Amino acid sequence: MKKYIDYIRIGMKEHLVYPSAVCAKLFSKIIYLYLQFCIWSALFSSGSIKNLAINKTDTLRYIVVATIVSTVIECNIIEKINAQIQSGNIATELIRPIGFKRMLFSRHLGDTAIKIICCLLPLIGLVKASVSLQLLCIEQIGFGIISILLAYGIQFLYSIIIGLLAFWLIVTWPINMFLSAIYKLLSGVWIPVTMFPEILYRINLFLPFRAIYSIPVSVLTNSMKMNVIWQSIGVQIIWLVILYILMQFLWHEGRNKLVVQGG
Amino acid sequence: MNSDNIIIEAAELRKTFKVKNREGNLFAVKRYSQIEAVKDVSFSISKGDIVGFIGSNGAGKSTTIKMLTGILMPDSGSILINGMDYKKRRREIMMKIGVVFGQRSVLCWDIPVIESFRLFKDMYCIPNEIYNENMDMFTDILNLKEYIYKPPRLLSLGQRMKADLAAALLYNPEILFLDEPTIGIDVLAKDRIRDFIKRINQERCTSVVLTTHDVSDIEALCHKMLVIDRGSLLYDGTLNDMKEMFAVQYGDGRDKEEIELEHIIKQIYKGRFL
Amino acid sequence: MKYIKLYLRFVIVYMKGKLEYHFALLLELIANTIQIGIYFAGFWVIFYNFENIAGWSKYEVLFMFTTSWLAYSFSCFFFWSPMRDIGELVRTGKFDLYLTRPISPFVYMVIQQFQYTFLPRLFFSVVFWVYSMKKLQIDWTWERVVFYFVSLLAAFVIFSSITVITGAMSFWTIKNEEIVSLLTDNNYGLKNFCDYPIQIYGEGMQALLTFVIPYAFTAYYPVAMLLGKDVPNSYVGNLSPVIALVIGIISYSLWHIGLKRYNSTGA
Repeated sequence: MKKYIDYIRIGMKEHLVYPSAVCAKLFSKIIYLYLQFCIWSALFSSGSIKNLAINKTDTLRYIVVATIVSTVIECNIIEKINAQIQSGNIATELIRPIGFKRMLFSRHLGDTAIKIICCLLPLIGLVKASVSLQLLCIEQIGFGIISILLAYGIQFLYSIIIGLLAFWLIVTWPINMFLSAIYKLLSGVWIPVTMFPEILYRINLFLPFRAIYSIPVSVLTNSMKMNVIWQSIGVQIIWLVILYILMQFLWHEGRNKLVVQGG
Repeated sequence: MNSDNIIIEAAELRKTFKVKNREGNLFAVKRYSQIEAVKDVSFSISKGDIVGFIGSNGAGKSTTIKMLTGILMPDSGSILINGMDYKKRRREIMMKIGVVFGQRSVLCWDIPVIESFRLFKDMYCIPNEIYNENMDMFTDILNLKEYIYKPPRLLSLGQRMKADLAAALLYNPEILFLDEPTIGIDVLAKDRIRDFIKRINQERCTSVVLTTHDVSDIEALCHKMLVIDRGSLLYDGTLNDMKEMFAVQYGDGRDKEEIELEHIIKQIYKGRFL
Repeated sequence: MKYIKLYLRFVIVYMKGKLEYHFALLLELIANTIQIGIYFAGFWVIFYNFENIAGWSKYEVLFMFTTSWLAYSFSCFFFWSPMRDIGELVRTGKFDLYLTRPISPFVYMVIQQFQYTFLPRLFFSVVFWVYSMKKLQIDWTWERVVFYFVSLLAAFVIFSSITVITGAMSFWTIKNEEIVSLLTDNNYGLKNFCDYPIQIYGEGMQALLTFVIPYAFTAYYPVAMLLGKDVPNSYVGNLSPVIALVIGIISYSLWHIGLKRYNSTGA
């Protein structure tokens, strides 16, 4: 247990090495939140709404909460795993007495702890002070937190899976770029998925992306029927399991490849 | 010495750096201290000289080389290359000097060396006949054929250095600056490189200024020596004279030929000689 | 003439190097295409639900932001990669080598690369630019063509100058990555603000985009004027060339001061 706590501490320290980067992160989130808020307010004020199932308040709540939640859910381990696999350093990680994935997760927890303190809390304070919106659906807050935790896990597994692709690819950044673009659109962190045209909405139902933002943010902000909430959480759990199995599979294949080729 | 022959003239060069000593955290008061990297250095180099430029780490050697190649501007003093000043005629000077840094290659990493050469041909506006003549000669001495169609990432360190040297000499510069040209290179390749430098020097009367930590480079190549320590020039003269001086002071009756240069240099760095 | 010949040579060399890994090159192009495509897809989703924003129709907004992107893609094509790399070059001392060439280091850095990764962005910009123009049916009189062309050129200068200014900061041993991403990051960058009419932002933000980081002059003001939009201070649209000139001079001076500083202090 102690070794995991050590790694959590390392994750926290790594994040704090460049204080300017932490400030820049917070600042960019504030700018983004402001941008989103202005755009959606202006769109609804323009009085030109077509076939829309979601109203202004709900949209603004959704957008604000999604941006705030994104500070916690985001996971930037993809490049780290890529770099370790490509440089061959992963071999040295394998001989350590702690599992590679657990080590990564511990570090990520530490990283998140700092993000909560340096990014999430200031952002919440700022929003509370400047926007007079009832953001959360108080009755469902317990479910909301469970849903965020599940989303956190899904995001982490997703990042590991993409990172592990480096075992099979020479360059990884185009894949990362490609996936992050799709992710940005389909996860609902940019545009609420309820606004998608029918066909896009349907496709998205079969992809894991919406389980990361769309579901938890909806649970947090929309008052829903009990069975819908359970359904949403059920979808998240299914994705968590699928991604976990996929991750284990890729990890074993990759490690075999490493052993066979000698790094 | 005929003054028409002087190709590099450095007069009273000075260079001071401000160094930040930051202690502890972000909010600590920043203090600056001045470091006189080069103080009052003057010398001249004639056409056709091969000059060895030595000094311990941090003696001001690389600062001086950077000033000579126009990368750094001196705080005061002047440098004239063939009578031209960097401040006014930078481009012209750049056409006349070749620079090779041992640890930094100018060649494009992923493409065959020959492509980099063609690039230099266009950049330095080298006429076809000179380019071809040079390529023939370099191919001959440096065995360019073996690796010129390969990209630098596939070359050995020695091959890469040879290619870099060839690139720096393609446009027939009058002066060649070499910073640690043989660092990390095997003995045979070193010999080739030295032979090549010697031959270029003899056939074209190209002046060569080289810094090195490898004493055998100096013994093999240099007629003249510049020794710098703590920013000041300690010695400016021929290698032979230096050995003679040492023999007189510390030789214990030994002849100058018997004293190893490495021994002399050690004594200089320790502050016991010059 | 010499520079054009040299540039062509450099392009050949650069692309030969890239073609060594042609699979990666293909992936890069595809990834960029998809990234930009998705941005337009998102734009489409938004205007699938709304007719207009702040009195600008979908095609007017599209025309405005493709105008801005057109200038931005061209500018990045030349200046983005050198100004991104310069921090690293200064830190490692590799910048020294650029100073020993018979070409100015700035020109050298610009012509030695070929940022094909901006081609998909340029391509999409052109396609949707033409598409939006068709839909808008602008009455292209001679004065308008000249006005629009000059504004486009000014936008190119403004974007390039901002890039050069961020690059020049590297000479003061400032880590400029954060500033660069604050300005041009695809998700969070300040540049994204000028994809929409800036009337929708608060006054502080409008002032910032007008006076401090003049992104608003790259498309919003000139296009508003061209389309005859009813926006506050619409005559400002004439000022793009002036702003371009001012920021161009600032970036030119800053680069040269930075270069001089490097010349006197080293890395």
